[in-house]
Amino acid sequence: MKTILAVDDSATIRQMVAFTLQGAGYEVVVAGDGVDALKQIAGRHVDMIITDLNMPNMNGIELIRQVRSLAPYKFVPILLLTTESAPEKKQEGKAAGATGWIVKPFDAPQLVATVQKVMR
Amino acid sequence: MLASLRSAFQAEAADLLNELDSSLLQLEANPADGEIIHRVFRAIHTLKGSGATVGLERLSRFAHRVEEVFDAARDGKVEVTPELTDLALRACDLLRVFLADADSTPDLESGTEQQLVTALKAFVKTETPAAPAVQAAGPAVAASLQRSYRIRYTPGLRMLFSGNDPVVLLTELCALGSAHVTAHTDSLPALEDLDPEQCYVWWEIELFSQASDETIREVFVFVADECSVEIQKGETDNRGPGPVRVSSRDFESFYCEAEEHLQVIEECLLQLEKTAATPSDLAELFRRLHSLKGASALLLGESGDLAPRHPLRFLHQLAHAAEALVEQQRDGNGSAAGQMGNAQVDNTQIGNTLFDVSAAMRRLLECIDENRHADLDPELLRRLGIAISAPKAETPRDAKQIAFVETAGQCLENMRTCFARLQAGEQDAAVGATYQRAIETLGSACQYAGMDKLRAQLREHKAALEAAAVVGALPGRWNTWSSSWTERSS
Repeated sequence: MKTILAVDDSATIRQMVAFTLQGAGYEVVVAGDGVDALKQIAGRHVDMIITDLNMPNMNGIELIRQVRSLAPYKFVPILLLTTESAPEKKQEGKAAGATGWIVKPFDAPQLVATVQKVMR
Repeated sequence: MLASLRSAFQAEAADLLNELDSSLLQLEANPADGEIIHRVFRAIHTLKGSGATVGLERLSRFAHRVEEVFDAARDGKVEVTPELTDLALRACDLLRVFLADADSTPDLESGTEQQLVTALKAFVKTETPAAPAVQAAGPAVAASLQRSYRIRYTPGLRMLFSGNDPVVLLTELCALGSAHVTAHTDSLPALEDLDPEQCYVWWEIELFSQASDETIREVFVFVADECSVEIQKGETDNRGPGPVRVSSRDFESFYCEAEEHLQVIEECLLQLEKTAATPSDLAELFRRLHSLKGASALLLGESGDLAPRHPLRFLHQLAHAAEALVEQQRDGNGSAAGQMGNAQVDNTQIGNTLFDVSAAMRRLLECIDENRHADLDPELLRRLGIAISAPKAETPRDAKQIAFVETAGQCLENMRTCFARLQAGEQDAAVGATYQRAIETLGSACQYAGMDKLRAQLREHKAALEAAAVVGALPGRWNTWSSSWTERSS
């Protein structure tokens, strides 16, 4: 079973993502910001990361950069949560090493579809 | 789940709003402090996003208004003034109201909402944001058109480093229809220069699918800027997938034309139901059927090797038969029941037949469009057969001939069914036996009706069958034989 790390400073989003992806057959771990996320993956391996952009302590872009510098995470799919009014963030994310993005607000089917789009 | 999400949101939102209050008060005292502005922005932004996620549209929409202003503020486009912070604090109060009443009725506080929204908007110079590009309207032809594509996908060298996997992409592409994928390794460098983490392979995909151009591009949406994707709509390769192979480019124009003809035909027929047929009505009907026949013949010619029971062939047959029928009516000035002998053909029957023909042709067009096989109603064929064979010949049909046509029709139908089953792989001896029997019966009927040439042909066919049965294959000459038969049977 694949494990997905969901990183977002909003408890609501974390809960929704966890619930949706668990329902789709994934194991989910959560983190509240970039620092927390790095701690999580130091403890266990995850197969995919979904992260928000704006977070305290360490934002999404910085998290992606740091994750990509870790050998086991060179090729792991990473999705960025972004708003449609910030198209340049998609490019910034890609430049930092993100695989793709999900536009907020999103619903459960969209989330699952995008996850399945980038991960076998 | 929604209830628990909502309550989680209530807690989170309450915290955010408190934080907002204090930040705004701080901002009042330090209007130029970028850090505080940023904090305010982030809190509203989160509120907006989470609110939308739990379905609190009104709250989210209103939060968006506030966020807009502070987004501009953190970019330096808007100056933070006491009016703004005051406005923002009032906005927070309203957000609390929305939060408290999750199913807020539209009337609730709408006056206040309006006021605040207007005031907020005034802070932001209204540049109408570019409306999201509306999807271009699809082509006039039915969206369920099967198309053939040739796609060349060349990933960027460093594609893998963003966590994208070409195999996952190709799998997604292939799921759109039926596809044939070829990998090309000509760009691979020598081993000593090869970096195993870079992607040197490119792919060619022949895709047969109902998907549109946009859907295909959508597959590559995450990698579009770092790889090249060329999409060509192409001729269907005869080796390509799909049971019904019609060149898609030609089909589009044929479909439009056929649709138009059918429409006029149907209108004519409806008209003729009410009033007697005038020569010009019949002429128009004839012209349309003639054109339809011609167009389908043209497409048949350009489509290469289509299956014997391809709906396009049937369409052509029907158009041909109906055209002959109408031609008779046009030239013979309506029914002349006396001439028909025992075959009772009159205007009503012809009208009904033509109606059935046009309905059948419509169905066939759909089948071609949706890439399905089709079957023709044998009864309709028989009716057309009888109707056509009504005298052009001056000699009235005698009972013998009628009986022959009946029997022959039945045999033909049996043979056709058996052949289809045999062709589909059913190796049932009973099916083969039925087929043999039908041939035999047909042979006797030919003898009875004095149709020696046909009888000879049948004997040939039977011999070929027997020979093929020994070898284990079926002759493919059925279609040419049966269409020549249909012509001759009049």
